[in-house]
Amino acid sequence: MKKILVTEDNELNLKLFVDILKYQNYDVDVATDGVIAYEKIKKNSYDLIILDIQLPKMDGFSMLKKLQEENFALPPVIIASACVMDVDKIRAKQFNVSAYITKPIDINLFIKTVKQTII
Amino acid sequence: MHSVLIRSLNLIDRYINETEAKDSDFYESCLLLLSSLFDEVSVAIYFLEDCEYCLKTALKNSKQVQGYELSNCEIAEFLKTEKKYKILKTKKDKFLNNNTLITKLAIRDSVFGFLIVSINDDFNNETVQSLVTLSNVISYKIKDYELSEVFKLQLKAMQDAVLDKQKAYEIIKKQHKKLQEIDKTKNLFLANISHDLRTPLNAIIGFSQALDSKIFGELNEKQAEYIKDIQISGLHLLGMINEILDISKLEAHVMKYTPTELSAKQVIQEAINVLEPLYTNKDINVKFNCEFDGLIKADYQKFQQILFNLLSNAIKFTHKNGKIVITSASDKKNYILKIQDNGIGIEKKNHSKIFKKFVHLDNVYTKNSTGLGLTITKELVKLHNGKITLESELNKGTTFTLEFKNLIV
Repeated sequence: MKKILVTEDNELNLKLFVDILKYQNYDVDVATDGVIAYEKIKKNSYDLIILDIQLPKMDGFSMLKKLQEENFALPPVIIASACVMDVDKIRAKQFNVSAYITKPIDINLFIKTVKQTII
Repeated sequence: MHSVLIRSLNLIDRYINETEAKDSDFYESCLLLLSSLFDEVSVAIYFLEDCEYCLKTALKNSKQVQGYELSNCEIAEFLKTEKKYKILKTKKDKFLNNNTLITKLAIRDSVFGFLIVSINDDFNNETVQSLVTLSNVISYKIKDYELSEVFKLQLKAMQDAVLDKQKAYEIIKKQHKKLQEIDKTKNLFLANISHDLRTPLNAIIGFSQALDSKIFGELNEKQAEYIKDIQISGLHLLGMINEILDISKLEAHVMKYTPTELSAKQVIQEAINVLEPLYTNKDINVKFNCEFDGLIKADYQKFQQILFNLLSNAIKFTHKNGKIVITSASDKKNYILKIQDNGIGIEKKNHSKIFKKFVHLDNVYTKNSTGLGLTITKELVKLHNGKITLESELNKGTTFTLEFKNLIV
């Protein structure tokens, strides 16, 4: 079973992602802030990370930057964020993320993107 | 007497130069100096604007002779008007007891005052001539002085104006900077609010979509209907959030424009297909007149947004069983797009209003709208180097015409 880490600080959005992904038969782990996410990513091995940008303690981009500086081999990352400004999308591109989905997500598109990204 | 005159002129000259700053003392200084040149002299300068009876006579006479000795009667007359003298060096009776000579103060032939000198000697020809010359010189000095005062005032006014201008410029610069800051704050605020509104919308739309797609099981008829209603309202709300964000992006000039080569026909057909549920719901007949079947270079998303906005407006403001015609054509190098409906129309007086922000016209149903749609459309058309115009008549319908230069590949 493929393992996915969902980072999301909003309780209901987290529930939505987890429920949908579990229903698609994925093993789902969660992180509700940037620091927890960072530690979990370093400790465990995931097949995919669903990453929010605005997170408590450490934002998504800072976390990616930190891991990149440590030369950590990241699994594929899908950003799911309510940040829709072009600057955020451009920044995401610099981190080589697999996809950038804006909230509110279309769940069909979300499931499709996850399926395509996870190997 | 001549040496006295020369000495006095030199003194006056020097005195004027040295005392230029002490404005109010000027006339007094002049007279003080004059009086110091003669023993037992009384001097007065009488300006014409204050002229009274006795001096009118003096004026008449002084035109004939350059210097004129006042009679005691005349002296008495003008002493009555004492208050109007610029200065009187000695007591009044000195004028009565002494011989008094009056000379005019004039530039060319225009008399502006009199110099009145009284001495305890007789006036001889030489003294009179000297005093006449002296009064001529004083005339020029006074006028020079007055002119220089005028110039000083003008210069000061000019300097003040320059300073004011500088000050105004500084204020405007400060205000401009402040406005820029406010604008930046506003855009940041809008970006944040957009983020904060999207977050709960994600759950609303997401959960209702999850239920609607029945991945967690079947719904009964009413549940399915309601969940669709929630979704529609959520998407509606999202549309409004996007409009607010778009206008702030457009105003901040940070709207990205990424043109690619597109088939005009295909983009339009796509928009028509997406909006099909809306117009079939109202039994509106939509006709696509495709006279141009080539490529255009446009930003796909933004061009589509233009079409969505204009088409959904046309659907919104057209009655049941109405008609909408979309025409895609080219005119030489220009690409022309027309969206014509036979809906409620817009009064002529409102034609210029509708592209403005937050405008809702009274006669139309505009609930659930930000009033930004056409403003954004106009800006997006501009982004494509195009212009949008409309023809419309109340209760007859509306035609929006979009004309783009250099859009055709």
